[in-house]
This record gives sequence, structure tokens and C-alpha cells, in this order.
Amino acid sequence: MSNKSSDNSGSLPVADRLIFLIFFIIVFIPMLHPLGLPIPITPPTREFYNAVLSVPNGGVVLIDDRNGFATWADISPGEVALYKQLFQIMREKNVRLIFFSGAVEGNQNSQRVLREFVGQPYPFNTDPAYGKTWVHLGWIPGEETILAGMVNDMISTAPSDLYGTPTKDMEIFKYVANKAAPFDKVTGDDINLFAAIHSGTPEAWIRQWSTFGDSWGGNPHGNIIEIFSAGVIPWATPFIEKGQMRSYIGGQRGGAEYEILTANPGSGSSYMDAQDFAHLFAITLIVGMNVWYLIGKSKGGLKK
Amino acid sequence: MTPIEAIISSILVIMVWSSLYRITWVFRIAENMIIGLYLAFTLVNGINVVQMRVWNPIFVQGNWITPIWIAVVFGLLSWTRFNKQTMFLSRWSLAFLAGIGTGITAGATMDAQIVKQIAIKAWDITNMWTNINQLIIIICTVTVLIYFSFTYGQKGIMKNVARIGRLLLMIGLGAVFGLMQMGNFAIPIGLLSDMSIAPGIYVLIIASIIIAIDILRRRAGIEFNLPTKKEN
Repeated sequence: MSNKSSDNSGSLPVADRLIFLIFFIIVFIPMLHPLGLPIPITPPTREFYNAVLSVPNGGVVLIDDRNGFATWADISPGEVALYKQLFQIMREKNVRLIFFSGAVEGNQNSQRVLREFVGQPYPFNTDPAYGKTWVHLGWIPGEETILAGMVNDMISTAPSDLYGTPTKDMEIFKYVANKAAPFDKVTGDDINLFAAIHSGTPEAWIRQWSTFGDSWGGNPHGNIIEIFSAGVIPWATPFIEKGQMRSYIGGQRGGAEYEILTANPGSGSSYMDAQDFAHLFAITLIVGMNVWYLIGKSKGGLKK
Repeated sequence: MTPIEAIISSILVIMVWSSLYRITWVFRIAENMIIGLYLAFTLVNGINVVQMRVWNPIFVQGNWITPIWIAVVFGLLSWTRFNKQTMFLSRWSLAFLAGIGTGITAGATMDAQIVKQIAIKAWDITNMWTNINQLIIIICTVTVLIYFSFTYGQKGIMKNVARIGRLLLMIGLGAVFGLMQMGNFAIPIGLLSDMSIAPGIYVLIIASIIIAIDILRRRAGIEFNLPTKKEN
């Protein structure tokens, strides 16, 4: 098998093309004929689910959604399931939801999830509950500075919502401002649960939000939950160990588990058979190529 | 997703993935289109934010005395970069942003990522795993730090400790790499799933036929004069 590109146009070597072709065929088969392999629930997903459930009656959840277009397939299963569970506790426990996005793509994806998957009327301000029990503040540029601003003085940091309505006149912010102390500023201490959805590493939210406590529910500090790509899990584990983060949903796999827990089977669960096949293919390639390398080396045919 | 959206999405995905077969004008069109669309999308959202958070409060609602002017001035100063004589003024915007960013991040980093991480919890008699985790964190921190210490020669026992640090580092990086692959598999699987059902599957079938024809055409030595870009 030739390992060289068949032309000089920057195309992949023939061997690489074959690997991709086999990969696509292997993951495509379970999509046409699902096998329904079991998906066990891992402790972080269960803890994530419990964290959302434990928001007290009349509590407040702050959600920063930064899921990008490129990571939509990986992160959206968890994102959609979280939005559905949040709106469920909003209806059952009168919980207030404050959405915003620190990234331009996240703003668009967040609105898409609310519109297409949660079924909120669009434009959102046509929903009678909008501005009273939930609000979307849109894209707030400023990266980590904004995270600090949102927990120090939310109304000054986000003076208007997605539609330009002043936040200080909104019922939801009046409720949050008066809940802990009369006519108080809206700060991180008024928030019962912080949720971040992103494709980066988890430090920024831990840095800015983990020191803010929950002045109503009596929960300890570190009431942060995050949804991110599976590759970020090792970065998050030390924060959970030290009590700075409550739990996480790691990529498509975590999203599939969370869909099962919330009884909302969606795209994540349907991807899992293909994920299993893809991993088997990767393991076969790794083992096969190492065996091939060692045999070649023992025969003296390969140079180190 | 509407059928039209699904068809457009599938066509664009296949245009980008066509680079796995061969880099042609099809891939170049998709590449440039996606970059252009993203820039346009960001620009439109940026203008919306300026209109809603700057223009409307000042000029529509008439809040003339507002701290927003500080942001406006620094924002406009960053545009002085386009003229060589006024270029130095743009440094003020950058310095202001960098200063605030560093101030907000540095203080919080000390607490969240250094002080809390090196703080050792008390011995937990109810959960042995917690104690083992604490022990692993301490061993990993010390041995990896020794591995990365280049100020003295690693000899004797220090050499062995550094070797343990290197092994632990490899285990950690292996775990990260494995999980990264999980994420990398997730993206094509998610995109491919749209092509396993109608109307995406029709796009996939047509694309497969076109690629098959191209393979046969190239084997037969037939050339179409299509604008392909050669890599240097």
C-alpha cells in the first residue's frame, strides 16, 4: 500500500484516505441499524442531574451558554437535556432562569435550543413568562471580565436583554434583587446554581464564580455545573475534588447519559452505538499498527 | 431543521469532507464560504450589540452622562491603528483591556487554582478513596515538579523520582489524548447522523456517485479544466 499522496495537490496519502473511508462506513452502519447497546449512568452525570433537581423553590439559575457551531454535535445533547430539565423545574418549582452568552456563537446556539428543542415561542418576548420567570440577555462581549461582572452587579453588566428591554425594569430582576435583601444589587450570592456550557477549559467559571455562595438554599460554595467536551474532563476533576465544582457532563457520552436520566432520549443516545463502533475501530488500528511495527522491527525491516 | 436546511447543511459538510478524498475547488469554495459566513455573522452580532448597548442608551434613551462613553472612547482609539501618526493611541485601548483582564484573572487564579489546589483536606475516615485521591495529587505534584526542575542535575534518588514524575505525566497526557479522541469522534458522528436519514442521505448518495465517477475519470486519464489550486 502506497503511503504517498497520489498527486501534489495537498491531498491525504492513500492509506489515510482508506482509514477515513472505513471509519465512515463503520460509524454509518449502526446509524442505519441501531443496536441499542446499554448506556450505564456514571456518577458525574447523576450528580449533575441531582444538582439541577436540588435548586430550591423560587431559586435562581444563571446559565452561560458558549457552545460553538464546531462542537454542536459533541456538546448539544447535554445542552438540550439541561435546557429541558431547567424549564421543567421552572414550571414545577417556580425557579427563575437567567440565560446569557459570553460567546457570539453560543448566543445563536442557545436561542436555537430554546426555539427548536424546548419549544419556546419566538421571538421570546412573546412568551407571557418571559421577563418574569426567565430571560435571555443575549451575547455579552468581554470573556472572563463579564463573568466577574455578572456576579458582582448583574444589572450594570447587562443593562438590557436580548431585545433591548432595560433589565432594571424587568420583574425577574426585581424579584432576585429583593429576595435576599430589599433593593439589593443582583450578585452571585443571589444565584442558587451556576451552569456553563462551553468547549474550552473550565477554569474561568471556577475563578470567578466558585467563591460566590448560595444565600437562600444553604448549599455550600462551588455550586457550579458545566457541560464541555470529553477531552476537558481531566481539567475539571481537581476542581470537583476540592469542592469548587459540583459536577459536569463530558461530551456526547455524558449527554447521552443525561438524556436517559431526564427521560428525554435525543441525539446523544442515538449516537452511542456509532461511538462504540468508532472506538473499537480506533483500538483495532492502535493495536494492529503496534503489532505491525513490532513485527517489522524484529525482522529488522523498520528503522527506529 | 427544515428539509432545505438539512440539504444545505449536508452539501456543505460533504464539500468540506471532500478534502479527505482530494483538495479541489469544491473544498476551496466551502472553506472560503465558511470563513466569510462566520466573519459576517460576527460582524452583524457585533453591530447589534453596539446598537443595543451603546447607541440606544445614549442617543435613543438620552442617557448622555454615562460610563458607556469610556468604552466608546477606548473603542474608537483602537481604530487609530490604521494611521501611522496616530497609531500610538491605540495602545491605550489595548493596555486598558489587558490591565483589567490581568487584574480580574490574576487575583482569582491565586485563590481558585493555587491556594485551594494545594490545600490538603483533613484525613477522611468515612471515605478512603478521598484520602487516596489526596495522596495521588500530592505524589503527582511533587514528582512532576521534580521532573521539570532543570536547575540541577537529576542524580541518584532524584533521578528515580523524576522518572516516576515522567511516567505519571505520560499517564495523564494519555488520558487527555484518549478523551480528546472521544470528542473528535463525536463531531463527525453527529454530522453523519444527519446524512443517515432523508433528505441528507440523498445528498450523500449523489456525492458518492460523483466521487466514484471522478476516480474512474482520473484512472482513465481524462482531465476537466476545473480551477484546482496547487499547494506550494
